[in-house]
This record gives sequence, structure tokens and C-alpha cells, in this order.
Amino acid sequence: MRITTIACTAILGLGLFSCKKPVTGNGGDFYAPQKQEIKETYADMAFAVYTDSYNTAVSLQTAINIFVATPNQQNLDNAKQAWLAAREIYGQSEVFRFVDGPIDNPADGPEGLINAWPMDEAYVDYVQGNSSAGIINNVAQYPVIDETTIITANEFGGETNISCGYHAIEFLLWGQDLSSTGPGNRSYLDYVVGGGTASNELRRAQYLVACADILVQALDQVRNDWDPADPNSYYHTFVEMDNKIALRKMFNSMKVLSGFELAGERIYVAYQNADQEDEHSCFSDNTHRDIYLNAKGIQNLYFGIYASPYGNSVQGFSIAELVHLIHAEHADEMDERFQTTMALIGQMYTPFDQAIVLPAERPKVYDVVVSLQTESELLVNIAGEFDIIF
Amino acid sequence: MKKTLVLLFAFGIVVLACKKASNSSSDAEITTDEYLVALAGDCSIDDQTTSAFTYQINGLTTEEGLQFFVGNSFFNQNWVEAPSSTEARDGLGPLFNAHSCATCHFKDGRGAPFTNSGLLFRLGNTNDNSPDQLYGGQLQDYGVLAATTEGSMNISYVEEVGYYDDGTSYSLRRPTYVVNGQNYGSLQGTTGISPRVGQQMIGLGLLELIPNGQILANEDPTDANGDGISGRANYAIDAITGTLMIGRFGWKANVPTIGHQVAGAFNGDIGITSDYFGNENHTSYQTSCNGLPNGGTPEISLQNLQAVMLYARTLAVPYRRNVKNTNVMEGARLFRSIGCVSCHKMNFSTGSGGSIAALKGQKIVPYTDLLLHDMGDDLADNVPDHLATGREWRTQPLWGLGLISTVNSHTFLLHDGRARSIEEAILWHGGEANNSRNSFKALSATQRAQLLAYLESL
Repeated sequence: MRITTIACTAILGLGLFSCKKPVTGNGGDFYAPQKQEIKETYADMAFAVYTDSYNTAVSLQTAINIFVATPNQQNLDNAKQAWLAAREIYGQSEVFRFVDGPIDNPADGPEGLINAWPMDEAYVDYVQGNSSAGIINNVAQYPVIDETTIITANEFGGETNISCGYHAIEFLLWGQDLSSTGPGNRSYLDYVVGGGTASNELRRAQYLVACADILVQALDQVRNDWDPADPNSYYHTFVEMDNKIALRKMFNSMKVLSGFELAGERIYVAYQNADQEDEHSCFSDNTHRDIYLNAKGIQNLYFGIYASPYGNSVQGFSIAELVHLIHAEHADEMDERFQTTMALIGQMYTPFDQAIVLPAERPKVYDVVVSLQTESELLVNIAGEFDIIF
Repeated sequence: MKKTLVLLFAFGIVVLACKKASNSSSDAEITTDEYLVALAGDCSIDDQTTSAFTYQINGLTTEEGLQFFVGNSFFNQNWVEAPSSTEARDGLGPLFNAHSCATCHFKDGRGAPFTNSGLLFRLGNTNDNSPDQLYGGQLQDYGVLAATTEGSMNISYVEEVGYYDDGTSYSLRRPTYVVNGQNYGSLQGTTGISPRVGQQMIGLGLLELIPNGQILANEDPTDANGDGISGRANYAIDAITGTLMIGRFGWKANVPTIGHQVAGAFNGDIGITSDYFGNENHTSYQTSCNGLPNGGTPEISLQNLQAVMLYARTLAVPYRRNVKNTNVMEGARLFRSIGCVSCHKMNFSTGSGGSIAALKGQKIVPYTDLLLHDMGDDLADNVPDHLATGREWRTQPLWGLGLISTVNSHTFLLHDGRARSIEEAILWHGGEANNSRNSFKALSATQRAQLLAYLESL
């Protein structure tokens, strides 16, 4: 593979010594072989991260089934641990969003069933101030609770109600976070029939199980879309895509996730509102990990490295390597910015809901916003080196 | 691996040396109107993807850019029932049409004439637009679990065949609107239904900054020039400042400012109270809505509301496409010659008002005069709205028209989405647009396609 690359590069390279106008399109592009490899790295990484995501969701589903069959503290804790483990992977996959790929293409991308936010708590279950709220407690209108009920309810009244996905499961495991020091503290007795802490325990269990089933199916779909073993999968669509279009998608995802989604939507909005629960994983107080993992995902894509805890690691030719070839100065600046971002994220107070509230801690949150915006601007500059203009 | 890098590096140096040769943009320097690519001056953006309507304009300050994100968040994310942990985002309903602005303006684009997709029914007395006694000024077809919903929209269509002058047939679908359910009792006999779809959000801040004089200069209420077209401005009290102003937004130019539009839609469509619309959107007869939990007073903070207003003011207008295609160029000529441009006015410049510097002093081509025109019996909703009669509608801006199909996967046009294509939208034009519509019908098939190609390029 490497030998071929070198040979091809050498041959293609000869044509450019005459200093003609740079040619775009795969045919005459000096760096076409490298770009092809970058696409393959990207697609391999997508398959790996969604495979891990699927598998950790299955583990979560298993833990939930065990918990609802035998609701006790240990089994609830195990389900929570499985949820946290699943999030460690999913957070790194979000860099594959924003380019109409398998995760969120307008036709059938299941992102809304997986990670939608904010969670419509009172639409699903009791909340403080309304002990009979939600579908779980509304037997008359929703006599049966299963996947169909939830998916239909999810689409009721507009784009989507947010009544399933990771954050619905999080809500059903942790409950509302009413504490300034720790996460939500739902009792396992919410699932013990006749247990007394909240009515409709069996329906709550049915709801939780159905959410896990929907999550597993949705991730199965995305993983299969990236499966290189299927000749008709999006994996091959992507790998065979025009280099410039594919690179534009990669830069767009990184640009949007760093400068817009993460810096803006997820951090600055919470910072401005200084509202304790205006954060993604508000029930489990895991938002600091969401932020870290999203930022990590951007760097995975850029450096062509995904480190899997489950034996599915990927390392391949990367945008970073190509940028070092084309514009070493940009490359160094970019590398340093990535390091700065991660360092600043590491310095934020945990839990995040206090980082945005405590006066002494707020400036550190703002520093992360600025760093992610700078990161996004640098990515746009580098994209410009590939004639990709945003 | 190391070897590859070294070798590549050697070649890279050569490439670097000749890298700057080409410059991607080609059309921007052409400035005559027909060839103009950047319809919104510096507030235009080069994108023709499904996200074409979602970008902020260039030139916002850092602070404005951050507020754009906040606005984007409160525009796109769902509102949830109160009480909720996400206190900044709770207070949905008790009655509502949608969970978020983006439900009806998906990807900042256009709604479609289906339930859940951006159509709503305004309700008003056919003589004076006073609200229905039981249901108020708008049908909310959803409610929180504890509230009885008002009813649902029923839309039915009848196909009607017509013919171009060359004998080619076409078919238009004529809608009928009924409120099903009517769960709080029957609508008053005098209450009319005015169906309206959500419009694309691009360039709104620029329309807001067109000086009054430029709008009023196109008025001709008595048709003094005898061209059959008698545009006039609507006027309404702005909910933000409390002053009477020219109406610019909404299907009947019934809203004067973006601030009013945003706060009004939060209240009427989502059930969110604000500093400007402090009451929940139900009448005293709707007792199942009384005493339900709310999301605070107000439900959206002034700071977040202002961020959404800034967001709605600063969405960029996408570049035109295919401007030098010969069919598009011929279509541009036809657009003028059959009189479309009499109301879909092209040239304006923005003034110096407002606080967003990037919007000021721009030369813009929105294809609207922002005036009211009698559009004939076929389009009439027969419900007046401020100065607008039941036959009058505001000229719709056409910038971004050709990208609606990309962004929203449909081409349902006009106030109620009855037109299934740009062609059908033209054929529905009546009243003051009779002559232009008839001129369109008299064109050859080739010329019709050229005009449509031009409109697609916008």
C-alpha cells in the first residue's frame, strides 16, 4: 500500500514541475493518493466508532434488562455504569454529524432517536411539582408502552418530542438532578412494583426497556451503513466520493462541531444562561465528559487515530499528515491549538453545572469557548489550503 | 511511513511554489442586476446545500456571533413542558402548534401544508379580524397532556384543469379548510380561517432596515399610473416599541418588526410568554388550560428572546446559481417584460438603523416591494388583517426561492402551500397580477421554462 502510494505520487508529481495552474479534481491532483487514504481512514474510523457505540449500547440494553427484572441498587448502579461507558464512545462519534451522512441524513438518519436534547421530562414521567406527569403515568391515553408508542410520541406535535434516546434513558436511570453537588438520585424503588416511591413502576420499566431497544436499533442502522463488508454501504459511497467533496465534509464537520455546536450551542449558551441544568447530560452530571469526548472526536478525525477500548482501534493517513506536507506552519499552529483546547477543557470545574454557575469558575468555561472558536477558524483556514471555501 | 513523508515533502515544495495561480470565484465581479450573484450584498453567502439558509451573515462582532449561537439554540431546540430541569427551556403550551421555531422553519426554511410541518390556521372575524370568542386568534392543534386540544386542521383539495394559450394543460389544486374537533364548542359563525405556512428566515434583518421612503415610493393606492397595480403599505402597532409602523413581515405585512414577529410567534405558536406577550395563548373559556404549571414569568428571558431576535435578523442569503446560463438570462428578461418586477421589486438599499453594523448600507435585491396587493378571489382568505383586506397579500420575497427544494425537500408555495411548484404559484396569481399571469400563459413552452429557470436561479 505504501509502496503504491509512493510510486503513484512520484508519477503524478512529475506533471507539476512545469508549474501549471493547479488542477482540481482527482485526476490531476498531486495529492490525490493521500486524499484517497484520508477518506479510507475516515470511513474505517466511522465504522469502528459506530461498532463500539453499538456494542456498548447492547451492553447497556443488557444491563437495563437485568435491572428491570431484578430492580435493586446494585443493578441500577450497573446500568448507570453501562450508560456512562456507552457515552464514552458515542461522544467521539459526533464528529461524523453535520454532513448528511448515515447518522443525520434528512431521509432516515436516526440522530434524533439517539441523542436529542433537551429531554422533555414531564412528557415522559413524573417531575418535581407534578407527580402524575408524563406518558408513563397516563394510562388512559397510552394504555400500552412499547417501541411504537414511544416513536409515535416522539413525532407528536412537530419535528420531534424528545422522549427517547440516551438522555431519556439517563433521566429514567438517574432522575432529575435536584442537587448542586451531585447528579440525580432516582431510587431503584421507582421500578419495584408496589415499591411505593412512584406509581406505574411496571410501565416505567417498559418505557426504559423500549428506549434501550430503540437506541440499539438506531445504532445498528448507522453501524451497518458504515460496514465495509457490505458493497452497497455508505462506506463505499464515501470512499469513492470526489476527494474535494469528501474533504469538505470532513472540514465542515470539524468546523461545525468545534466552533458552532460545542463552543456555541453546548457551552456558550449554558454559560450565558448560567442555568444549572442547561447542559447536555444534566441528570448524570456527565456533561464535562460530553465536552471532552466531542473535542476528542474532532482530533480523532484530524489526526486519523481512534483509540478503541474494545480492540477496534484505527490509525491511518490523516489530514494532519497532509497538512504538515503542504503547510507546516499551519500544521504546527493547529496542533498547538488542539492541545490548548484539551488542556482548557481539563481545567474546567466538575460538574459542569457548577462550572457555569460559580463566579470564580465561569471564566474557565469562557476560555474553552474562545479556544474552540479559534480551533474552528484555524480549520477553516486549513480547508482553504485545499481550495475548500466556507 | 517516514519515507512516504520525506518523498511527499519534496514534491510538496514544488507545488507550493505555484499554488496561488487560480482564484475560485468567477461571477462576483458582474454587477448588473440580471447577473448579480450576491443578492444581499455582503450579507450573501456561497452555499447551495441543505444548510443554505442556516448561516450567519459575515461581519458580525464576536459578541453578536455568540448571541447568534444562543438564538440558534432557542430557535432550534425543543421547548418542553414545565416543570423541567432545563428551566430556561420549559413552559411549552398549554396550547401550541409546535415545540420549536424550527418545527415550522426547518433548517431556517419553509413550512409545508401538512400537520406538524409548518402550516397553521389564523382565526379572525371576516369583517374586522377580531379573534374567535372561544378559540382566540389562532388554532393551536396541540396541547400539553393535561390540556384539551382545540381541534385539528382539515385540508382537502380539488384538482382544476386549466390551459396555456398554446393548448398545454395544467392542473391546480383548490384547497378547502375546516377545523375538525372544535373541542371547546363551535367556532363563531363570523370566524374565518386564514391558513399560513412558515416562511424561510433568510435576509429578514435587511428587509427590516429598508428605509420607509423606499417602500412608500412604490405605493400607488389609487393606481394613478394606470398599470393595474396599486400597492399600499400595511401599518400595525409594534409590540416592542408600542408605535404605529409600516408592516413588513407576515403574509399580510401585518407585523412591523422582527422583534414583534419573534415574540409573537413564541407566544402564539409555542405558548411561551415573554416581556412583550405576557399572557398564555388561551381564552378564558378554555378552562382545562387554567392553573397548569408554567415555565416562569416570563417563560423566555429577555436576554434569550433578544438572542433569537438577533438570530432572525442575521441569517444570510445564499448566492444565486447559474447566472450566466443562456436560459436563465432570457428568463431574467421575461421576468421584466411580463411585469413580474412591478411588485417583485429588485433594488433597495438598507439604511443605518438598528444595532447590527453588518446589516447597514447594503445594496440588496429581495424581489419584493413589501406592499399589499389584491391577489384576486382565488387566493383570498376573506379575513382582513390591519389595513389588508381579505383579498390582499404582501409581495413575497423571492431570494432563495430556488433553494427551498434543496433545504426543505418540497416546493409548496404561496401563503397556504397550495402551489406545488413555482409554475403553479405563478398560475394562482390573480387580481392585480392578472395581466402578468396572462402574459405568462401566453408564453411559449420554451419561454415558460426560461422564466422558471431564472426563478430557480434565485
